[in-house]
Amino acid sequence: MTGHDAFDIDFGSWLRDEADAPIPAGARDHALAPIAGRRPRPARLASLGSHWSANSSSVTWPLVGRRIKLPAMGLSPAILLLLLLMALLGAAALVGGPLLERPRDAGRLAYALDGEVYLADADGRDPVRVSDGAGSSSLASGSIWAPDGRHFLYLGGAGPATAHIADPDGRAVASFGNLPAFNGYPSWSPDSTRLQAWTDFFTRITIYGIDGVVQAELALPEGHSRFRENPGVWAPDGRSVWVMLDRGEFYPCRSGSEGTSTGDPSLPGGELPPCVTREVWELPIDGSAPRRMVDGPEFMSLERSFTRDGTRMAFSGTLWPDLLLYVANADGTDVQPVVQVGGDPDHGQGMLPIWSPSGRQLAYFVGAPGDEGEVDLKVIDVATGTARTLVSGFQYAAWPPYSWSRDGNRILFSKQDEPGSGSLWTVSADGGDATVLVQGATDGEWQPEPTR
Amino acid sequence: MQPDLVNRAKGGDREAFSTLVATSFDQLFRTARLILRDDDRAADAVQEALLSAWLHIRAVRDPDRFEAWLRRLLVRACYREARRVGRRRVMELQITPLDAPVGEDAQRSTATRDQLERGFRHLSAAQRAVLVVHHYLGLPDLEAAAMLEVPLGTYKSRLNRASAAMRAGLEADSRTPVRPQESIA
Repeated sequence: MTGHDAFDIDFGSWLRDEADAPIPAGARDHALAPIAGRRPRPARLASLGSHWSANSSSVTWPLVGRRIKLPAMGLSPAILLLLLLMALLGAAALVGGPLLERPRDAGRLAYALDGEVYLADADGRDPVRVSDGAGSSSLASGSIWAPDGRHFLYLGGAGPATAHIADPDGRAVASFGNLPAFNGYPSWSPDSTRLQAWTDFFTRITIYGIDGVVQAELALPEGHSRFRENPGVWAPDGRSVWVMLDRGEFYPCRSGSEGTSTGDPSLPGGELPPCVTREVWELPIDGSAPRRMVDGPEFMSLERSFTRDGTRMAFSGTLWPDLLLYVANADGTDVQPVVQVGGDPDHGQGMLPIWSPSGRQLAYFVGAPGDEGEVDLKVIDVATGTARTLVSGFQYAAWPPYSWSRDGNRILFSKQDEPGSGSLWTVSADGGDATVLVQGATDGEWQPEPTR
Repeated sequence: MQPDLVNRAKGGDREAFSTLVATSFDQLFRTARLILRDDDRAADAVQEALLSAWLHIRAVRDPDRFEAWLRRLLVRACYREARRVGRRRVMELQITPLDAPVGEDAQRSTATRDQLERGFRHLSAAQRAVLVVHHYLGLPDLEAAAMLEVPLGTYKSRLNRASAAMRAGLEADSRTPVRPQESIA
């Protein structure tokens, strides 16, 4: 941490002054209003993880990280081990799934733990650190592996981050720098040959090749800047980046036609400019003119998932107070809602749909009833509309909080174990068999199937 | 006093809960205001945190840790509020007229504060939260990490990076012409 230099003193003083501005009248009553007419919920089980019996999950994945207690029956260790092996094989016969044998072609797992980035086998075994050991590395959540599975991205360094591209064996491929920490949101192009990231928080997106060389810098249309922290997403054809922008001046501003009566003496004529309007724009990477896109439900959230063949997409939207999950053609046509959750203001978040490798199912989440930041992880078969809950009432520890295995049989998700720590877990896509994969890691993703 | 209020609130006593909240409210609001940089959104985040606290107060095992638990709920509510892409709110500007001419020192101070304001707005909600917890609330590292619900090492790493980002923003700002006020992210 920084010492108490002039910056710390100035900043601390300024922060206190900012905080100490008068609190709006009625704020306390506003804050307490919703509790009227509601009662505390019954106490839940004390420890997180009590919603499922994780201790019964050592049958399949993995034995790494799980401590197995052998019953004391006066038998020799060798006999006990043999009995255990027989029990496991018997259980495997019942379960009918893969057991101790490491799944073939399961690919690699990239994860972050205590400020370092590791590569391991898909079941978490044999981890190798690929970051520099300085304790300041992290994964670019949401875009770790390239879609073709041939490279992955991680960030390193304090302050502005340096992006590192490596191959599945951890060998460095390229590096490029100055991504604003937390809010650059680098992401891979659909064809895995490029990355885009906000390199100025408000005004510029940079396109990099896989060699780390700048290919283009995309300027925003005049009078616009980035809307909050939206990440910017690639168009499905990889020829442009879609961004959500603000137009006009910001605070202070006037709304509607009447506006406010206060003036800002620093502005010409003392008049307030119009308030901003959120817009979606397409920024072609070839440098041609940005194009404003027509707002529709597909643009309520720029977070969207494309099927592996690039033909379909899924995204979430809001029809207050309901949340909806939509599927559509990748070009935005034929938008169909497939899930609607709502009616309860406790459901304050969702749904981040992610396609299964087959393109037949979507994983998504919704706020669990009560919503102490807890969510339910669900899977829906798009064709039949059949949905099931895989994990209920957990707090995710990374964003996005889950991803699919290559074979589509399991989902990797991050879960808080207790305040201040989390772990990577896996769960069967059919439900059940939730297992800790990497204790203490919160960011991670399985390598997708390399495209040929 | 507080353990008694917590236990009464767990029994459904709204008055007890209101009294509990009264002692924390100002700090909760000010913390949310700093993280979200918007009084309307801060009010919504505090409301969400208090509702969550009321609904789940029976999960509080140690009444002496109620305030720490409430602060964690507030941070979560702030992060959720920061993520929401919702209707933009109009803020009303209130200007306090200056009563006297501004001296040179005051002008320099104003410039520094303007720079800090712009630099702070450059940061994400998560970065602001780290800086607020350290510089405004002054929490020890362990308690700060617990409030932000990250491992201690992660907290320290984020604090370093947020501070560096803030400084880098100030440096960049000092080299470039002043832009219009940034969005509230």
